[in-house]
Amino acid sequence: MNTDERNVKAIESRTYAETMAKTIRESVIVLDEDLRIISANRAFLDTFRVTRDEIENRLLSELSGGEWNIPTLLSSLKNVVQQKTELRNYEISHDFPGAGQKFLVLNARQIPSQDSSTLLTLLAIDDRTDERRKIEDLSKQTKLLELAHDAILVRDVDGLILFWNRGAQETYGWSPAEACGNVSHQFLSTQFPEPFEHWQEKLFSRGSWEGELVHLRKDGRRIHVASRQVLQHDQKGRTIGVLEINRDITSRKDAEEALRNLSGRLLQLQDEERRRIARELHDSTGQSLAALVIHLSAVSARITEIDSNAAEMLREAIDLSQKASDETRTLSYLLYPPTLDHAGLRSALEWYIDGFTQRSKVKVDLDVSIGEERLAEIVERTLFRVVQESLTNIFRHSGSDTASVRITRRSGIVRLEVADNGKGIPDDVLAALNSSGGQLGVGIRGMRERIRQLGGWLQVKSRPDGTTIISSLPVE
Amino acid sequence: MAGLRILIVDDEKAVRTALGRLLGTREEWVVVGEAADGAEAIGKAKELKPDVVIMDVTLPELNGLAATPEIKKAIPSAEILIFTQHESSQIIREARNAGASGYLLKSQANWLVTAVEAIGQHKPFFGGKNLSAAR
Repeated sequence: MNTDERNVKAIESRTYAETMAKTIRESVIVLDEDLRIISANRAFLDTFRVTRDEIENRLLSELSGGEWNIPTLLSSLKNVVQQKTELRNYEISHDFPGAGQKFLVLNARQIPSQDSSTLLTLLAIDDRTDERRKIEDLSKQTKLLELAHDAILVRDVDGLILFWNRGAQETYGWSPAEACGNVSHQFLSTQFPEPFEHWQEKLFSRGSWEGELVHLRKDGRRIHVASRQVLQHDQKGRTIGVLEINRDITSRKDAEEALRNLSGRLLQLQDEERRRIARELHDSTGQSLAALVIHLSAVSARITEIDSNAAEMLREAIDLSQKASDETRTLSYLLYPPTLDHAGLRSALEWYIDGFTQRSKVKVDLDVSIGEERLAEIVERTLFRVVQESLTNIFRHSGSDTASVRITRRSGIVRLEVADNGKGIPDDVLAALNSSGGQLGVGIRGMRERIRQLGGWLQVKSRPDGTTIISSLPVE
Repeated sequence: MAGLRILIVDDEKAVRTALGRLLGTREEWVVVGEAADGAEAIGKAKELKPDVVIMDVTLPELNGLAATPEIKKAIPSAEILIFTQHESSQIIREARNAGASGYLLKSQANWLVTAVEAIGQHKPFFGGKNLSAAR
């Protein structure tokens, strides 16, 4: 080849190189042996926010107020130029005044110049800032996950455990090495609130689930956990796994249980106390008043002969003591009807409902079909109280003018239904009545607790046209 | 005046004592026994065969209106006075139907001696509202 042909070739190569350099996304600059910038591509200008005028023929070290004036970098580049070495995957993390904190990987080598007389260095700058940030963030997140006390698990769609944080180890006792690779719900012997297939279907159709589960720890102890689970999807929207966070709530549940038991027990004690008071009232005070009436009546016969005024006052005294006697009797019966002990639930209910209808003007239809045999004293007492409480509520809140009380017995279960035709219970109140947590029970909540202590349940159902309180108790 | 043998039936002891005292104003009358519930009343009546039974209504085991016909069956000569706090025409009716010879409210205890005298002579004595306050 002659000189002209070589020049043409050189120019063509250079044009080719320049075109490539212009198009690629990586920032590329060409430096001379003094590290002066001969040319730079579009990517460089955009990444470092400079214009061609600002940089051409400027020393790299003087660029943009010296932001490239990094001693180690400059000396490495000088080596490339002078000793024909390559700069490979040189990492720098630098806060560039114009462009912010950046993480760059540099590659540089010598390239021949057009006239082979000057030495040029091609410097390729790979901006890995975003990637680096993602990795740092991920590492920060993992550290956060490890800080959490809650158990954090990731499992795939088949249930295999992929991630198990320190919180999970503390909660369940298994290390990540022991846990990962097992099918989560088998590994933890999970008790679900409904059959597993239903539960899983809910999770997969809704995308998330929140509720309480029971898990088995490594040491054999069962714990209650509050669990939140959410599906993880890939970019195409396919489910690739499940993220799960569980919090051990066993001590909270134990406390709730203890509170409910206490509440139920308190109500029983209260009832027993009422019975004692009622007996006292009836046996002592009641008797005294009854006898008082008789004595006064007997005396009044004689007095009339002596003094008609005194007779009149005595007559009033008799009326007053009769009234006191009646009131004491009613009070003691309302506190605790002796009929309940003597004659049983049906008689006691008949008596109570009779009085209730007189006091409230609510007509009550009573149907007790439990056979002739008496139930256990505590069962009869509890059912009586539930009726008493339910009817009181109907009178106070429902606006209903009729009610029904139905007690049936079948296969060892007694069922009580008290219903009205009133205006129903607002949803939030209804939810509170049927819920299990909350304050010490009074009223219907208290009744629910007492029934629960006897192994049964109580539920309040409400519609806009009436409310029904249903209780069910095992009796054998 | 002939002596009367009287059985007192009431679940309240203070009432039984007061009745005993009231009836004690007649020397020739004797309280031969007391009962605190309907079943005991029937038993005592069969055992003691009284002339007059003063019967409360609200009694444990068996109430007075149910015990009355049983006693009448066992001892047809016994006269029964229903002695109660409860004032109602229904009770008066039921008392008659049960075979009682008399009915008196506890607040009209000043008429007790008169009532027992009447039924002791096999005459009826149905008190209640129709009794006047003054003699």
